[in-house]
Amino acid sequence: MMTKKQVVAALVRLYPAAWRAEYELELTDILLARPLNARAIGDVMWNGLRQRALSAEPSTILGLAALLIILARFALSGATYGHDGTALLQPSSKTFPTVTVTFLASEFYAILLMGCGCWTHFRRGGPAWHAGVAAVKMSLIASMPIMVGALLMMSGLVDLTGPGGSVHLPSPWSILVAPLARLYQAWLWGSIGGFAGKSIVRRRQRAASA
Amino acid sequence: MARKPRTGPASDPELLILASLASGPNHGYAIMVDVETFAGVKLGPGTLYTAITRLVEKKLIAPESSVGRQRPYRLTAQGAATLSELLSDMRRVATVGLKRLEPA
Repeated sequence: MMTKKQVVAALVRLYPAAWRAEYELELTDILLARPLNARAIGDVMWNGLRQRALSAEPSTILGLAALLIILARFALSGATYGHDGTALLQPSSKTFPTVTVTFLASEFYAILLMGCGCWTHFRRGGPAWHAGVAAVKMSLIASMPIMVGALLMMSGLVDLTGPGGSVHLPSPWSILVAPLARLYQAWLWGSIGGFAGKSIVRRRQRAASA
Repeated sequence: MARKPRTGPASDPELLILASLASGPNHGYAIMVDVETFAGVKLGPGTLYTAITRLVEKKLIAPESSVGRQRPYRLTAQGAATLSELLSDMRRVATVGLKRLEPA
């Protein structure tokens, strides 16, 4: 069984590292000094997760949001492939990669990438290409389910082709490579968002000084 | 015993911490006990430190050098001005509201 000290240490670990560096000792002492009831545990858990969400990078927040959208699409319609706009995977219009992840090629996703770039610039400043790098990170997070799915197909642990191969899917390799081949676009949209963020910041500064 | 307001501006953790520090610097645990005594509001440890974090970021309170493991916080000049403004607003509303509740 866990001791009170261990429970407190686990609760405090819910907070982001930067926050802990500042307040860990104080919060630990208070938790150890008072009775650790369900209300106190719930309060610390809720606030710890809130701090984590507040301090998370825009790329992580938007990347996870995009990941959830992809997972929801998979849960709703499974691993579908075709020219239909609702399919999870589409044949690519280019020779390489041979597959496109529909959501990652959508205009809505491009807007999310620009939003990520803009938000990153508001938070961190710096050159626009830094915002592009953040958008690449966001894309890597969003692509996780696709890449993990492809790896599981490759290893033979998962068969997404349905009973008797009823669903036609391209090779796992092309599915694995598809999101990676689009990373340059993520960088581009993110950088554009970074530029937009930069000009908004400049305009605000000019308005403030006028 | 003080009544325990559950909602409303008088139970806002940031306001309560500012009011607690108006009497002088204090550390987290002492603020928690003080708020419970003068306002009847039990601030959870997580809520207390989330509010302290926000107040430090807004520069309304500032940490002082630690005494052992405990670090006291003090009200800044900006914090005192903000608290005074908030309480004056609340007093104005309370005065008008109470007056209107009096039977004519």
